Amino acid sequence: MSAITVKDLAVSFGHLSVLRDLQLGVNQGEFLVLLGPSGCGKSTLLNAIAGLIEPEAGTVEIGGRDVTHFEPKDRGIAMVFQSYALYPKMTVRGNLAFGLKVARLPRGEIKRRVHEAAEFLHITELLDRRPVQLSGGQRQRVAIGRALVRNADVFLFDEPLSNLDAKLRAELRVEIKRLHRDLGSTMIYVTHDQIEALTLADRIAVMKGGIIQQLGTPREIYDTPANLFVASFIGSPSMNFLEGRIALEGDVFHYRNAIFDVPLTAYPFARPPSHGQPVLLGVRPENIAVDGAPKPGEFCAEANVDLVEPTGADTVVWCQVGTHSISVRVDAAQIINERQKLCIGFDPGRASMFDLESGNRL
Amino acid sequence: MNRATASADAFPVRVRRRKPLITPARLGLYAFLVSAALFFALPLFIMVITSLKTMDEIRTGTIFTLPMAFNLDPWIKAWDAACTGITCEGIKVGFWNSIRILIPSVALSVTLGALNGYALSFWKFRGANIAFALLMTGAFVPHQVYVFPMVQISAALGIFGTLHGIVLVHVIFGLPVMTLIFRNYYAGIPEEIFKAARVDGAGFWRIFLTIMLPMSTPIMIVAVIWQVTGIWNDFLFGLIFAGRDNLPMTVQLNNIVNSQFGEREYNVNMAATILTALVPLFVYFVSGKWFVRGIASGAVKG
Ligand SMILES: Nc1ncnc2c1ncn2[C@@H]1O[C@H](COP(=O)(O)OP(=O)(O)OP(=O)(O)O)[C@@H](O)[C@H]1O
Ligand SMILES: [Mg+2]
Repeated sequence: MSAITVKDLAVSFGHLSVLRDLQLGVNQGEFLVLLGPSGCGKSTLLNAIAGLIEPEAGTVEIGGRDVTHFEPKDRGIAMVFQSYALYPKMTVRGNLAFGLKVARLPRGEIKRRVHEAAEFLHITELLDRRPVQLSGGQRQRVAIGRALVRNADVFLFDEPLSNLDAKLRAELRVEIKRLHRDLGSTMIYVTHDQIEALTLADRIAVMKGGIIQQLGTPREIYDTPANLFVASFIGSPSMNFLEGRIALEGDVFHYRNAIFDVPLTAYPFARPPSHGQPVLLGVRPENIAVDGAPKPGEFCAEANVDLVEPTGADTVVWCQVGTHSISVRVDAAQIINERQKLCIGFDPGRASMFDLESGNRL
Repeated sequence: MNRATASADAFPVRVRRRKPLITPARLGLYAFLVSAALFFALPLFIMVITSLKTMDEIRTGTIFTLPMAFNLDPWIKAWDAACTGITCEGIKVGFWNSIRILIPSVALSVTLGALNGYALSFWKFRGANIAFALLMTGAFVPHQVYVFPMVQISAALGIFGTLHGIVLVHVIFGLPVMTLIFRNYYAGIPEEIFKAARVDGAGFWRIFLTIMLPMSTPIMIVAVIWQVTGIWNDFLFGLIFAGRDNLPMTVQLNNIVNSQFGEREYNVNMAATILTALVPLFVYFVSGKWFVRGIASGAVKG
């Protein structure tokens, strides 16, 4: 069953149209990440689902009910914000209890839920402090706690970790994953951090300019990006792109440019290309092999090593192939020196082919 | 500062270098400050010493000399027995009238200003910008322009010349500036706090009362000081709208100073004037620090 269904959603601010005809379905218990660059409308979409923005058109269904015109509190959602948004004049306890008091829950019940949430997030000893007396990480725990006590079916997170330093971010990321595993609730999580997206998500929706570019599992998004934008947005260092043309030889398609001539028998074309079609070939740094003797049906291109960047677990090698600069990820144990010559090759089955004009995957 | 102390600790005696206390620039600065202070303090000084003299002493024409005897009679007369027109009950009548005008006017205008500012910055209702623009023209058009229409309106409401009438006038004319002050303050509060409260199920009033108002202390102080001094010092509206029984202290002071029965009692006039100015002075002395802090502070911290 679909926990959240967004249909034909349109949102604009004055003359600025931010979302148009947006469709999105989120499954029960799913962890969905909205990923995209700044200003692409992630928060706007989340706010529209929460009921904090009135959409211009379209509907929002949560748990099978049409909630398009419901108040936020009646949608069965809880939300965590980027700036923590704690009530500054209330203690942590007051912050956690506020929503429950508004809902007129019995005092014993409020106490029990606040206690449980505090226990779960390890903030019991902070309950009597004010937000100003907390560190950033503690504040965000409290903010998560405030969402937790609501016992909501759906959690919405708007970049909850982006104000924290790298170490805390990694820590709380694990915490959120644990939260999702233990509660099993549906979660929508906004971020522009691809590591967060890839580690947390069941599915990722990559957005740009108010449009969902691709919706899929982290693997699908990473291995078979639907277009150039998704391909270049995800991955660090990013995917290598090489211009070229499709050539039809007999009944085998080839990718061809001044340096490469790659038979594409192993490439799973979504739609058949045409002879002479200009394309971009994309291949991830870790999918490039160096110095393996080319097996039959494979190929090898000569590359000059330009720069070697050891990152600890592995090493990124920047090399020059003809006029192209290409990054290659190799095992840290492999010794490669600058100015060395390499033979590089890749498995066409794991590469991506994009139409040069539209940028869409072939 | 820190570097100086650190090095002073490391090399106890030698390194400490004192700035010379007196430089020409400093002398010039002090000369200017002292003369400015004198310029403003001298009239006050003369008022105070004159108010403590007897009329006999004043008649000798020695304005700048200190009083020969410490004489509180003019103060007592100014408070209790000076004549304001036909009655001779002193300026205390005006004082209590002003208090009765002040308290409801300040309370209402500040509360409504806060409410307006809150509604305008968080509840972006249709036409909010137009409403705000209209209020602002209200703030910048001279108030005298509105006197005649206001007289007619309050007469039509049947409250012209009553306490209600003058309070209404003060609240209406205070509203634009109060709204502006609070709106700008609330614009500095992160919208996400408001959104979080809405997700928590709080409505218009609860968000205002339990979340926004407790965050508003600094700006409340600014608003109260602003209104207290403004309304206390008002003369024109009090004269026109308050009615004979409610004339505020400023109007009564004018009546005392200008009523002509024989000799002008300068000492009583001075005492009455100082008494009238005491409330705003007191407010500034007690809360001036808070005023500056409130204006300078943002809303987010604390
Ligand atoms: N209240 C508003 N009024 C006018 N324009 C707005 C408003 N809120 C957002 N926008 C605009 O809508 C667009 C999308 O904003 P949104 O906040 O959804 O982006 P985002 O993807 O969340 O970005 P970020 O990663 O920076 O948070 C932006 O161009 C922004 O300028
Ligand atoms: Mg955002």
